[in-house]
Amino acid sequence: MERIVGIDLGTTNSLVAYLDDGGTPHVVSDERGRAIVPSVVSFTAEGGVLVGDEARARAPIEPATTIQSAKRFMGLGLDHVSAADRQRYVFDETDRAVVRFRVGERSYSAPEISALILKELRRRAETALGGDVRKAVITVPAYFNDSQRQATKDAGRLAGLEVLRLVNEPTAAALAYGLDSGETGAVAIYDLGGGTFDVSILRLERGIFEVKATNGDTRLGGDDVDELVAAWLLEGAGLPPDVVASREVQALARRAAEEAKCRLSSAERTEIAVTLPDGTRVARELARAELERLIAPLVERTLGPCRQALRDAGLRPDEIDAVVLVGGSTRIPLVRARVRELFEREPLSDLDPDQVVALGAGIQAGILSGGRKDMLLLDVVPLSLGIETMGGVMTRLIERNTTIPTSVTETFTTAVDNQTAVDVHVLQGERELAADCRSLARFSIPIEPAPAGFARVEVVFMIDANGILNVTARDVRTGKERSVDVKPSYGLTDEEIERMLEESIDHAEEDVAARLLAEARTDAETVLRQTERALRDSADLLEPGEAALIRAAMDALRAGTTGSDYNRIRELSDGLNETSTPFAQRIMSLSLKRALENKDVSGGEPWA
Amino acid sequence: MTITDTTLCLNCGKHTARQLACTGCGVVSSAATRESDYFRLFGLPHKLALDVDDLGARYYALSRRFHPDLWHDSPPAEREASVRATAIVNNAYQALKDPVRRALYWLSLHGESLGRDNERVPPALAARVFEVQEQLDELRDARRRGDGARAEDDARATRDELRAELDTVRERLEENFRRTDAASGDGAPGGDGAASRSAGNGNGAGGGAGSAAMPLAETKAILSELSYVRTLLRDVEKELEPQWSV
Repeated sequence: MERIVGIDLGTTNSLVAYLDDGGTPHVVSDERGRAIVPSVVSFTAEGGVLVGDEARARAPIEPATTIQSAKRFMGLGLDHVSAADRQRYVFDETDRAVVRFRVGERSYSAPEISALILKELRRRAETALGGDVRKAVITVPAYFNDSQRQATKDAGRLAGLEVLRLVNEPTAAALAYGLDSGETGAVAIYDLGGGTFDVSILRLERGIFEVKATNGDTRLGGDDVDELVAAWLLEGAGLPPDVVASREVQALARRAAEEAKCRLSSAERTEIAVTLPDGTRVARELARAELERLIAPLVERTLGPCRQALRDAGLRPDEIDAVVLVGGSTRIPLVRARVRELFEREPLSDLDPDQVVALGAGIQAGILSGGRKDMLLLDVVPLSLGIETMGGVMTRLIERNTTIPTSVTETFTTAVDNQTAVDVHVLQGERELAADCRSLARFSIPIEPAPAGFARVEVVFMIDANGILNVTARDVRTGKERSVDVKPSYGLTDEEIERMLEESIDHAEEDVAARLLAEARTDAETVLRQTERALRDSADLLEPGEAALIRAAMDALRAGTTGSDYNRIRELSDGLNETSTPFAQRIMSLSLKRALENKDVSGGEPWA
Repeated sequence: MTITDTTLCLNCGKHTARQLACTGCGVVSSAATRESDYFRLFGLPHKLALDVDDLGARYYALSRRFHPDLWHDSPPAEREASVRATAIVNNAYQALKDPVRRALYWLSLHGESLGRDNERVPPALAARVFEVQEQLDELRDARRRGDGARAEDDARATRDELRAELDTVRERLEENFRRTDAASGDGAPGGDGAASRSAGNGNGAGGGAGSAAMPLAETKAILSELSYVRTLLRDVEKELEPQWSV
């Protein structure tokens, strides 16, 4: 059976999981028992790439070459970047359609950074499972739009993974919770992660997980809490503005804030301190009550989406049978308290909120590989999909919370004589005006010239099980399929991804060459060492002149290993082998003869 | 239930009932995955009144058969067909589970639509619509002045009234469904049992509508009323909810 893994590609932390043959999900740990890979990538001055804990440790020291929380920029263009983002990251401003982080001479898009994290997860999975891993299920925030989903798929492709399915994070969590229960009822999943917030309302019925409604905010999470606390810390320290604004100081303060936040989930007060690069120590005492005052507006922002989701699901809070907390930020007592109030019940957090999404992804991987036939996910599209019509109005074709896959067919005609194409602008969002919705793509369908209004093109908008839009068109008069040239508004184009893949294959070839050279050299050294020993130990077995021949071949090989041509090294190794074969055979027969004479040498019956 | 029209299955080459999977070989046939009759898709007669729980069970059963997650190992053509088939199943469920959408779909099957009737506010509701909008304006004004408490109480009372009203209109619609079903006599063979049961109920509760046209005109009127009450309720609920910043 092919091995499919489930990956939680988080804003701050990522994990990989799989379903074992018994149908139980497991999170993969590395050699040192670490399950979490911090979603951080750091580029070293020597051209190396660090991923995970090692990269995270460098974040406060090398903020300019260390990228954190890249997920926040998946599928986004420079139009969506805030002033605060610009303070924290250096962006490449050349292409407005894609956010790219500038690192020295190079720049990296969010999918490329994510691909590096995915590669590390893939490597870990391959080590743990002992074999190739080429297929994966990756989780995404439920409220991710089409571009953000596409960017996640792109990241998988760049990491050499076929992304079989994108699963919404809260839905994955529901899978993990509902694994062994033949339970029936309504469940709310409240998922506050490092960078995103989601809420989903599901109906569980004998293995079917039907999402009734979802809502959220793709730019709200624990990161924002850290920012607020860091600002509070620096604000009270009386530092010069340029010091406060420095990337390094910001990164140090954020790290200290994050740690203090975690301590305050159990302690009532804590000291939060940073030592600035110039040696100045900044410290303040933070009480939980003060933290709660700071973050109350953030927590409040999660409640609106919860109410909307309930309304869309057609349920009152008291009709929810269970509320599940997911994501590290749900450890914050204020978050728990507000959730408890809203849903009028004690929320569940039995499973580790950091691991539950990955476990669910592992289960979905198992469903796809046929390991769990009893469970089935019926998910929804989080945002309405439509097209721009006359007067810049968004005309909805598919309403939010429609179960996917789903499709809608629209027929278009021409407005002027001999028009050769119909142009369509696809949008996603809940606002009335096209300008207020997210532009997904523009496409153009070629048509046969005809009088105005005569042409009929039938366009099928299909949202697949990943929540990604596919468009097909057909000429109604001729019945011919029409090609649709889709230009994504934000995100990488297919050509860009192809090029990135080619580059990585080129790199891969370089890597292969380096490995082959290293192997050839090691082999050569082994042969040289063995031959040297044989010449010394069995000199009596040499024929006249034979030693000189062997020595010449050895010298040639030694000279060859200083070069970088691994083929040449192999040839010379083979040459030495050939020259010394008669000698080696004599050594072999002698030791064989000796072994037969002394049967006790290896004990037992060596030649039986 | 008998289905007379058939489609050629691309997989086994046999003629099969126009369903999502070939009845002969069980493979999802891309030829068969065209938009079909939503009622027939679930094996239900063309009746307006239906048991939503039963529909849900039928929906889950079809999902378990066609969902792309379960066809992941199949050849691409079948995989794509399963996506299309599931999209149809999902759209069908969406259209039938909600009584208003079901009625609109049912009307479309009969070559009818709400048409102009839905554009005007039903006369019975005109005063109500005006009153509620005025009340919401007052609430907003009061909030601006900083003393919205009393206006909020009023709005909450209106919300509760509208909720009760919505329930009543829904009941009237369901009741009308049973009479319309009985009067139209439409439906696939096999649905007769259900039809005669509904007719019995209809006679007990309904007025003396003799032809199909009467209940149908009433269906349209109730639908229109229902959608207005729904919109009003939604407006009030939205206004009453604690505001959150975006």
